[in-house]
Amino acid sequence: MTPKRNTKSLFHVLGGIAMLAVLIAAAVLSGRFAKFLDLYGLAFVVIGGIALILTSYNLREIAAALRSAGRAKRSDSEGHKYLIFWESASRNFWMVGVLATFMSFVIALTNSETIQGIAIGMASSLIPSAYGMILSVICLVPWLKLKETRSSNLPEEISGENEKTQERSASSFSFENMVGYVLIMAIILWTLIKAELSSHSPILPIWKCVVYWPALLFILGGTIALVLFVGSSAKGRIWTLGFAVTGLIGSFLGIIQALLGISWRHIQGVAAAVTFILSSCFFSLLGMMLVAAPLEDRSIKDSKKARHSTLSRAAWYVFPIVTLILLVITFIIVVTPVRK
Amino acid sequence: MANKKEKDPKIDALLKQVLQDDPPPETERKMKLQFIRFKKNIERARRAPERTSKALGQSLFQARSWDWLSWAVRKEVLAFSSMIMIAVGGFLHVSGHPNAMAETLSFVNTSFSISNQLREVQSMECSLQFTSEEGLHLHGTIRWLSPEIMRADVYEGDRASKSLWIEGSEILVADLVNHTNQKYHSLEQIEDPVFTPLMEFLSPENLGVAIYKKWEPRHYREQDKGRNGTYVYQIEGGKATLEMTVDENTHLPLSIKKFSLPPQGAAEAQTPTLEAQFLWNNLNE
Repeated sequence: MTPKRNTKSLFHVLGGIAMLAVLIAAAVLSGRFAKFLDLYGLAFVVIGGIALILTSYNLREIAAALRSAGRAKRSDSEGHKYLIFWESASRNFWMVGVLATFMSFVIALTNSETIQGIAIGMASSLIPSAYGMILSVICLVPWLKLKETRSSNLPEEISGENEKTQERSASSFSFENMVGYVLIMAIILWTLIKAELSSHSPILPIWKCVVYWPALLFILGGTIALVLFVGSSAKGRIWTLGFAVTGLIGSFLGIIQALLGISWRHIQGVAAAVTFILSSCFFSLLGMMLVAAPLEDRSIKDSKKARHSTLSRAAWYVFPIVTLILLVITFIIVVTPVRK
Repeated sequence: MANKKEKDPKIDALLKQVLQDDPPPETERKMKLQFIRFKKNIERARRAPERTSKALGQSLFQARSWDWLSWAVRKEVLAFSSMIMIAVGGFLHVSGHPNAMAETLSFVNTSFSISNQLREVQSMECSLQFTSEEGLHLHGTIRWLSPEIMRADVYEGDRASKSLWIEGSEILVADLVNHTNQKYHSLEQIEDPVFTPLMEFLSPENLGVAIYKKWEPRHYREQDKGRNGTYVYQIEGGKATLEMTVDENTHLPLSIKKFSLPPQGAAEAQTPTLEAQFLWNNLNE
């Protein structure tokens, strides 16, 4: 790449960022989007997304991938690595957004001052998901550009390479990976502590709501059993599927129990079922983010051909959507009186 | 083991070279053992990795450093643990494992139900027995005559001593003993402590907020079904303990008993500091 072209592409990137910043500033200053502004939610999604990237990649790889975004149109022998990186980043922001929504939802449920406050808080808790979605789409832009370049240059190279994923073992755990884990755990814990401190009289400690032991045991046991049954436990692909499938089974069992509770007009049964659904989704999401995704990333990032498996992709994008739908259902159940 | 060591040819040659005359066999054996031990120690020290903090840190990221945990990831152990986890999780859930989240959801839903029902109410009559801040046992009545009009009376003996009227945004407090009137624009302006225990019952909104938040409910559980189609909520609040009987058809409270928290170490108080009995117009229809 010539210096002139390099400068041009740098201006392209900076111009794009400036335009985006102006648009965001205009939206914020207009005051019409105040209801869609959640600074803490945005910080959670950004920091959480970066932390998750760190759990899979080291700083050298991240810096190289960021540089690749500015010159995505150039054919690059390392392009495949960057393709995997941007796909991981997109997935991470999306999943962190849904996690932030989940936590805001539970905080609203336990910390609101009034009944109306609960309803408003629950509805507003969906905002971080929107942030996650936007950041996810932003990360998909370099991915799409790289993919376009690669498909035109290497039409047959990356087809049918899922099997290659299975033959590789995860690369070693680095210092950056540990920092990533510490960062994501810190932001999750800080959110819980902040919620606890900010409320003068919470109707109950939030951590009591998040940790429901039966759901945790079910998800953990189910996932380990599935991984053992399929074998190949060193690959994140199986863990991703394990967490997603177990989470879906747990949610489905919860839905059945909730429907029976509604039929029998037994609010305690409905509440227990909803708790099981929420906790199943929470622990599955956390397992996919902290265990499965980094394992799969680390197992394929050094490969020149392997890519994320289709089933994992489906799990990463579909499971959070299921979680969001279940949160909305929970909201409806909570605000709908169940007559005795 | 010792025999094997004694046949080390290098040590034998070294000894023969150092000691020209043959020593007694016992002495020779002991010397050999000493030499072998000495040699082993030198080799072990040479093989041992450098024990610096950096080396220790690096070893944390190497898989072989965690080999001692390999028993925990053996397939048999994991398979057994996973089955146990699923079974225990399922059992705890089915057996009604107490959970704060489920209690919250249940209580919030009940609060929503009560709040919704209170909004539909046109009129209500409530009789109250309570202890004033001065320690006097008083009784009173509150009547929601329409959504805009409310009247509260406080009795001393059989005679009403004080009366409070709310009509739209106007509030009037009448002292029926001294024959004086006082107008207010908000309930917060009323300073007469006699009305303090009544404040939570003066409007559907106030009652809804009190049930959900003001009484600071922290632990609540639904008791067994009460009589005549009612159910009872036990609410442990930050300031008081409440017992609320709710009609299972209309989802409106029929009675609320408020017990002040006993001092630490004292037995639980049995006499309520406030008891409210409600008569809703909806129930009479």
